[in-house]
Amino acid sequence: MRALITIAVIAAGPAWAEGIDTATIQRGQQIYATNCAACHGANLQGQPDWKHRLATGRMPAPPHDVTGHSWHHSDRDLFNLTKLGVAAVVGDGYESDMPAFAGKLSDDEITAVLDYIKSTWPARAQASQAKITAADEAAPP
Amino acid sequence: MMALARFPAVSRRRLLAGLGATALSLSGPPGLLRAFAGAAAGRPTGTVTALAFDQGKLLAAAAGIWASHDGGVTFLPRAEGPGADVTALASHPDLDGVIYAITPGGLMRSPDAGISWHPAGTGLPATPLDAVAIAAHDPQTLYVAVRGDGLWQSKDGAKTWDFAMDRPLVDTVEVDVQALASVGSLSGMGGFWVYAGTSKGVAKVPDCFCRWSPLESGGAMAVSASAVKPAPVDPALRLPHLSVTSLALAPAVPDVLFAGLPSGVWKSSDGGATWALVSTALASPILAVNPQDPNHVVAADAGGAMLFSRDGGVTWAALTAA
Repeated sequence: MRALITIAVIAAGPAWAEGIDTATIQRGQQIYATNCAACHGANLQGQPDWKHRLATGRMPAPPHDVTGHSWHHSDRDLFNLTKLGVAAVVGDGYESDMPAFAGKLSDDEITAVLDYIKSTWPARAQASQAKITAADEAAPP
Repeated sequence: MMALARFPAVSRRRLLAGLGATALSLSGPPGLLRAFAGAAAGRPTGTVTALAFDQGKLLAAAAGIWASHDGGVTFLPRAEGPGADVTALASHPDLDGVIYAITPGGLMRSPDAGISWHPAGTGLPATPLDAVAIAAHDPQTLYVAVRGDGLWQSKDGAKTWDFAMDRPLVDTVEVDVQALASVGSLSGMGGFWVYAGTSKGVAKVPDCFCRWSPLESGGAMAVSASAVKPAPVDPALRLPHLSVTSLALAPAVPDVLFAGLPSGVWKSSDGGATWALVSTALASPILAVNPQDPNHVVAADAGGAMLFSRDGGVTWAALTAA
């Protein structure tokens, strides 16, 4: 899948649609609607006023469209944040309303959701995120 | 690069009292403030409230804007405005002569090294501002700390502004940002870091503004799966979680940071992971680092004292007129 993503980014025009299996994206969209949209928005728009902290001290669910910061995260980070939950990945007592989806979604289902999310980004954001992913994969384990 | 000074006993009253006066002064012909006419060289009169380097020239805000061509030994008055209530100055080595200032009336911009000043905060909330920094990697990108609100960002040289991030959460409490620095080391998120001095130490956020993290979380984005987790730091080498009134660095040397705390001047040579107290001569100093000579550091305090170092903070001497 990652190789397909790379190809998609290099290609001109609506790159994602050329490189990613449409069925996977549609499957990811369905999984997103069921498991993610309640917080992140049916249109990936995030919670209202998402840059301001909630009364609980936690940050609202950010958008997953290009107005958010998801496209600044590597593939590995996005996957781990979804599977393990934000608090577990960040550590240091960080609190988040984002749960761990391990046990609820399979790895393939998480990947499909991320494929769907990324398919909505403009080519420039896709290219930028691909660079971040490449740098992340080149880093020591 | 930027500096900020706040003197708790008087600053809030002065800021509030200054709002009206500054609004009046800006109501004249396009916000242009008068330059001093025929003023003589000397020392800044009054307390130095902010410092910045414009290329190699040291600028000081103290009852007007003063400029020094000899590292602070002698100053020439540059302009009456924005006046004594400047609490921060910001400059960038790629913007010759462009200076931003935080004033009680908001953000001001000078295109001519402090001679004339124009409002630059259109679109920012009409509440006090506490800090300003210019992005190390892009001088058209600015960050401003809005009291009680958070960080705002402009990507077009202060023409338009957008809310970027809530205030840092430190020990379960939201705290205001008192000082800002753009640190041009890679965040691992496709960009760089913004460091914020608060009443409880320094917090940092990648310039994609996904979340604040503690300074001690290491040089890479802690959330990154590939981030090298920092080794435990000796508590004695950590920056105290006390009021940080100034952060300064030379953009070309992003790992070397200076911070002003009640105990004096602190220095980090590893991007903020570990720190050492390098001068106790001034309490809660404001700081500036010469971008043309990162070993040239200037500090000033509320009492009017000014110090300089030419060796990156190892030794310090008082700035006195020859």
